[in-house]
Amino acid sequence: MYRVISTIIVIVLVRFSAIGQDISIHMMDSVYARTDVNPAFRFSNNLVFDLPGISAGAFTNGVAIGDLLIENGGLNELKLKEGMEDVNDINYVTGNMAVNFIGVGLNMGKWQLSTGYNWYYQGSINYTKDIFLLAANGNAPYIGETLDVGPELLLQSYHEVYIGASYQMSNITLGARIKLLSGINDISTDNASIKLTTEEEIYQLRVESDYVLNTTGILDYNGIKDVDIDADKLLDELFSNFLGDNIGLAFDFGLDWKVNDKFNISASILDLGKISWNKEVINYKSKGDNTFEGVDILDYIDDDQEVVLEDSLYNLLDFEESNEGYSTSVGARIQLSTRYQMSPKLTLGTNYYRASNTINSRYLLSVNCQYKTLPWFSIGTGYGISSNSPILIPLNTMFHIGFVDFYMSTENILSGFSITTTNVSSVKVGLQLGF
Amino acid sequence: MIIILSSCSDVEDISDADFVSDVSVAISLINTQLTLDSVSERLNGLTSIVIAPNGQVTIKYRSEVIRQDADDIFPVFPVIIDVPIVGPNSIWSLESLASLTDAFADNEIRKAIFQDNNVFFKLQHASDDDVIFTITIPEFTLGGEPFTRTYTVPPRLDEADVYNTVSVSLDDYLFLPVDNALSFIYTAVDSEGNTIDMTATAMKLDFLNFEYVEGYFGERIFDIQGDIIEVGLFDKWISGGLEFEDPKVSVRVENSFGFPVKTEFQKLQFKTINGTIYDIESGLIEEGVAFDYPSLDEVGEVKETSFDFNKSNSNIQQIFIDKVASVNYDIDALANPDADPTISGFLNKESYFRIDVSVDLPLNGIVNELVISDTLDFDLNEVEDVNSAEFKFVVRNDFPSTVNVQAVILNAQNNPIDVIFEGDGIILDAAMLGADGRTVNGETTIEYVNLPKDRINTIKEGKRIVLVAYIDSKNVSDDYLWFYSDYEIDFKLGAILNLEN
Repeated sequence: MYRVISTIIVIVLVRFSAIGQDISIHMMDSVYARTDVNPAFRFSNNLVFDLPGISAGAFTNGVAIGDLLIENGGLNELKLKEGMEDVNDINYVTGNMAVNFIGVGLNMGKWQLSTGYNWYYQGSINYTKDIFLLAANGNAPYIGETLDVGPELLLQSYHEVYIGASYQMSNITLGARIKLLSGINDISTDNASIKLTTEEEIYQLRVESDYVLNTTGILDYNGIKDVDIDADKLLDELFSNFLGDNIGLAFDFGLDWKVNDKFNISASILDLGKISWNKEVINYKSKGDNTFEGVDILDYIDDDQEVVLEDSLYNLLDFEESNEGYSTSVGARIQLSTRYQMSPKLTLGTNYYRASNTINSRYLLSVNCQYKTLPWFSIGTGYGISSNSPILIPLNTMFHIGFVDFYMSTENILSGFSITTTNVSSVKVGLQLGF
Repeated sequence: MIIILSSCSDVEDISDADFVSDVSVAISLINTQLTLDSVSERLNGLTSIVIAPNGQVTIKYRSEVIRQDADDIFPVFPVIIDVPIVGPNSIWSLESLASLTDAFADNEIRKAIFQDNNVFFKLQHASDDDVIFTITIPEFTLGGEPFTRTYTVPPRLDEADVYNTVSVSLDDYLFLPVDNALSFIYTAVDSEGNTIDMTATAMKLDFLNFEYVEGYFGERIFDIQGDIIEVGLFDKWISGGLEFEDPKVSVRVENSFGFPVKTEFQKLQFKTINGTIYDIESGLIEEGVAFDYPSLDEVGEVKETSFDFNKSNSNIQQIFIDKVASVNYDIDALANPDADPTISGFLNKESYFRIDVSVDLPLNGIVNELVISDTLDFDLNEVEDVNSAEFKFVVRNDFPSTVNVQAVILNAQNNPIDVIFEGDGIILDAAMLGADGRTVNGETTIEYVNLPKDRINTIKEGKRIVLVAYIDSKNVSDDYLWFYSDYEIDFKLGAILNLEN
């Protein structure tokens, strides 16, 4: 099983990166992409074209998987025992990627309208400390104990087409977006309880399971040792199934309160909605209590049948297949932020951001500053903490050349941009045309 | 984009990495509750375990069941029988049949029902006109009416001209001979009613085949043949004794022939594991045993007769002390052993003998320092990645016998290279007897066997494993002890395997 889980972790990291770079985007006041975190945020141009941009990131609250890599004779070896001290009771590895293909904003005085098309991946796996210990040590050190070895899993990709509007009422701006979602593919757990007990007498193995794994045909389960995930279908089918099956809806709501000429408070709640998955659905369900107590040699009296322990062990986790449609939420996000205009060039701010998906959530808290060094260049940084990192140093830059704005940001410049050796790694780049 | 690409490079390092683990896996290997009851459910073939209502166990070794049907003993006689009819009122004695087949020697048919027979007549006369020939056989009746047929025999063309009538089925005709004879009554007239002398007349039967025959079938021997019963109990014997309180050879006969039959044993020999052959000594051999048989009122019923050679009517107990390996028997059946022709018996198409001979060993005995051994081939070369192992045996013995088990590994030259258990091996203490003569639950024995890497490597060179078991009941009782079906050896084996990648 640990090989399956490690494979999934690799898939999460390879195929996905994050939307977690929202630590400082609220400070980038002319960027259309700010409306992603609060539909009440306004852009300054009358007409804005948000050109293709990408944001990506990966997070873990547990062992950075790169720390497990040991080079030995020119070959990389993955040694789980290297991460024994860092593993938490519940660990997650999350990766996200968003490709903002196009966005168009229209400023109509008090009203601002926006529309666009985005494409999302999100991938997460939650694994317990018991899974890690079982993979690192085997079950022998835990004789007489019950280990919780049910991983939670989410691998999902979908299209998003949105229409948004904001309305400015004196010093308060309200905004909302409606998003039409079109699922591409999904693997997600519903119930995720698998408990493994190794009895003391002769190490009988008992598995109590209440596990549901839903897929849209990209996972093929033929026994615990034969799990095939066609991850390419998550990434490569970029334009597949657009507005076909697997339809969903989601909503964003936001508020931006201009307390005075210098101070703004804003709040938003995002991605309230779900996708209903109904294309090529396979549900794998395991519920029950199975025990392997050893082979009864009486079953082999006068029988040439070969005694095979392996099959009996794999049958401990027995899945039934069905084809019932299901739904998943796309993950709600909340942002609370403030901005204070210290001078025409310097803006200070704070930010609280919480992002969730169906199996885990992550928050971050930051103080930010944005400095406009030149009329065409500004830079921002700050300090933040998150649920999986005690220190985040964000960095963003914006270039404004004529009607072109180019920006990039990262949530943590200290990460060195390695998604395997640090707990937080993200980057966002974008380009917009403003008229 | 550079950043993203550099991140992907990191991940490729992971996906290409070798997974290195040195885990310890604990797993149960064997969990068997061995009772004679559970073994009996799984046995097939010629060995079985019979459990009495009180739970006492008997091992039964059988040979193939012998069966002989009516057609084997009285075969259908497929020759056309030419019965001469001499004059308008003639009698033909059935004793003439004895000259045709031994099956009818000394027979006296008193009643029979034909099956699949046809009859026709050969007729010859000297007239130039048609002759009306009418024949009646009073002993052949159907629904109470005697067999009567009329034929028009055409004028004779020459002296060799013989007229054959069409065949007539005799199915279901009842045949009731009078004084073991058959009578024919016929008339032969021309078209004007004048009696014509027949120059030759005969009846032709195509088969002597009856659905049912009643009468006396003579004193005769049916050769039922025999077989060899293999007794596998001592196949693995090395030394020591196993004494049974009451071993038996049991014979069970099913008989639906309706006449007296008794056994004639041509042979009942016991061969021991050392090759010594003993003939059994028993009055049953000399006197024979009469089979029960259905009476004339019980046609279609099957009668059972069972008898056995046991310690009270034979020397079988002494023979078994020498450890019997097989039993060779040959039985004949003697019909009408008293040669009393007044006895009227019967047979029909469904009549049969079925003889089932078995060696029955009631497990009531004394086990005296019995040592048995078995050698099994094995190959551990495919076991890889095991750095060391610890096996845990958890065993409980409810039998009233102490059992010591040792396992010795042999290399390709059959030299011992490892002894699995320390000392005398794993010891399963005997369960003690309760007041009712049955054992109370035995003590559980836990034994660990550690196999470090060097010992595993040694064992992997092995080609065979010799299992040796020492069994003794004397420390429980000097008397015979019954083994009951619910006595159990609870054998459990688990292992901790320290794996290296």
